[in-house]
Amino acid sequence: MIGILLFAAAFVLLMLGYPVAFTFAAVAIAFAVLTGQVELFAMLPERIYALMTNFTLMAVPLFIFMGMVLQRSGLAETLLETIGMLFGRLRGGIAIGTILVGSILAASTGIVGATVVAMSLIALPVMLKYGYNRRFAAGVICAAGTLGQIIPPSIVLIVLGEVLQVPVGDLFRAAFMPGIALALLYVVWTIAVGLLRPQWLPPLPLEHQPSWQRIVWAVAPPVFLIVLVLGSIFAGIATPTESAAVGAIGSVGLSLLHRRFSWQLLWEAARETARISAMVFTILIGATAFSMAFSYAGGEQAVYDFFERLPGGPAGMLVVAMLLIFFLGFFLDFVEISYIVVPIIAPVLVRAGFDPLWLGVVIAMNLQTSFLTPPFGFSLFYLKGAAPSMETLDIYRGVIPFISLQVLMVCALVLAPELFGLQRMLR
Amino acid sequence: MLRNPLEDSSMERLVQAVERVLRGAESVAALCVLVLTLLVFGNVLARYVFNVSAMALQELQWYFYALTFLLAMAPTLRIGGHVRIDVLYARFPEVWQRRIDIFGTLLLLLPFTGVVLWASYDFVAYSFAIREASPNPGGLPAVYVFKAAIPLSFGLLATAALALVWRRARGQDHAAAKEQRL
Repeated sequence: MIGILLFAAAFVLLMLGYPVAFTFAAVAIAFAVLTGQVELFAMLPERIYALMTNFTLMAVPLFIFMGMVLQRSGLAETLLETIGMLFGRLRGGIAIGTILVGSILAASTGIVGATVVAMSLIALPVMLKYGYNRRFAAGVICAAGTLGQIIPPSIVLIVLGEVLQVPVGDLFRAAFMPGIALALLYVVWTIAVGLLRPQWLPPLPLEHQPSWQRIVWAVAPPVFLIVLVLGSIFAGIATPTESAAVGAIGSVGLSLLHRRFSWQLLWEAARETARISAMVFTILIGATAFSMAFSYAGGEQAVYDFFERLPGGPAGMLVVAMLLIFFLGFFLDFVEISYIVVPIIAPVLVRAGFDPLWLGVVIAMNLQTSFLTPPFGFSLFYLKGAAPSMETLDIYRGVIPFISLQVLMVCALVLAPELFGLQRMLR
Repeated sequence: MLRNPLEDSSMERLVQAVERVLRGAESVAALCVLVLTLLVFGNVLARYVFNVSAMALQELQWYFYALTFLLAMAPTLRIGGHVRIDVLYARFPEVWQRRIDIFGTLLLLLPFTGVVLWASYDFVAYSFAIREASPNPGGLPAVYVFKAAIPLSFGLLATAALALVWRRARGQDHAAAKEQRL
């Protein structure tokens, strides 16, 4: 009961808009003070120290750094322009090109913000200029940019691997097929919309096709990075942390190749990486404090009892857990959900017999929605930030079909995991 | 309320000094990112190309990785870089935003830094008392210095929080801080 009160208090305070990390921590402290149990935090430094010596989470700043260097290397722009020219003359071609570029960038690094911003700056003006439906344009850019969080390597998968105690490399491998399937689903949807509402997705009156040299010049570098990073992880040569460092060095190499390299670029990328890492890890520290108070208050037992009493056995538990994550995604972002909510409900599901690896992929797919669900979806902010002329309501309406497609994918993963080479239950 | 201009300016100078320290901390954190990348990359090379693996070097990675986020925590507060749910916040009038920042910092953030500082005192003092070294063979000798990064970074965070209260109380916002710096 106190556990639920803790959550309720945290939510009310969060809505006021003070930074999430400190709000969660403060609620935990208020609980400890009110119940006279401040000693429970004597273990907090030990838990912070565990974060400081965590080899898995070390991949987070490294992948962020890789993404920041890539963002400044001009690779995304070149890729987007070339692929746009390649597909532009088809109906819905720019949208399909955007999804393709989103997938390629997702597989090479997977920083959502950078991808959405690049696309909003390059693809969106082109789409709008030639009369694309505004809502569809906004939706497809947000959705394509968000692919970075389900297609490995991704920060969400690293954090989930850590929480679920699954090797991150295995989780990367397991999430690869579902991620690609989601991208394909977006493409199918775009083609369908093009057939049903031709005026929404007009073909572009482009005069020339890009030369094949230009295509190779644009596509080869990211493919090289994908092979370097994902290849080394999947082949078992490097841990995700190691391959992140290799990828970061590789992306510096690419910026040299594109003649974009400067010491200033490197320094700014490092500075931005430090800021984003601080943001992520401060939430992890605040979430740790909250979880300590939550389990002290018997919250975990309460959650366990609640799930045990649900009708429908394991299936009922899964449905409730997924709905919970989906609706929390409207308000919280993936870091809080994976670090506070998942550790509480995942053990219940694992005890019910679900495979943690499969669970990680399903949760990651479900968390995709948290990037797109208004009012608090990261991708929506990035799009709005990069394209202020876009109406907020148009963006909200535009992402609804794509959120539905993501929900469809969650259902597919639950009902037919074999399609993606996964198994639902632990044998 | 009457303001003593002299007090005002000495406070202002103090806050500016704090902000210079924060800028410095952020630069060190950025440097840690670069060193971390090189270290991890170097370790991969060392293992696969030269077939050696040094425990000390691997532990050194922890230090730079941890310092990246610990040191950047406080400067990120100053530029308003910590995630907030701004559905309502963004619609509040300026005065309310300022109040939320001031009271949030005093009632939520500072108690948190206080608890971490309180709890880490014993944690670090014990580590110093026994001159704690790495439990791993071939590890680094001064784990106690590394552990001291916890109170150090949270002390910095508390200082940044006080400087932020001062700025917000005078109606200055994060955006101004960001522009000033970049």
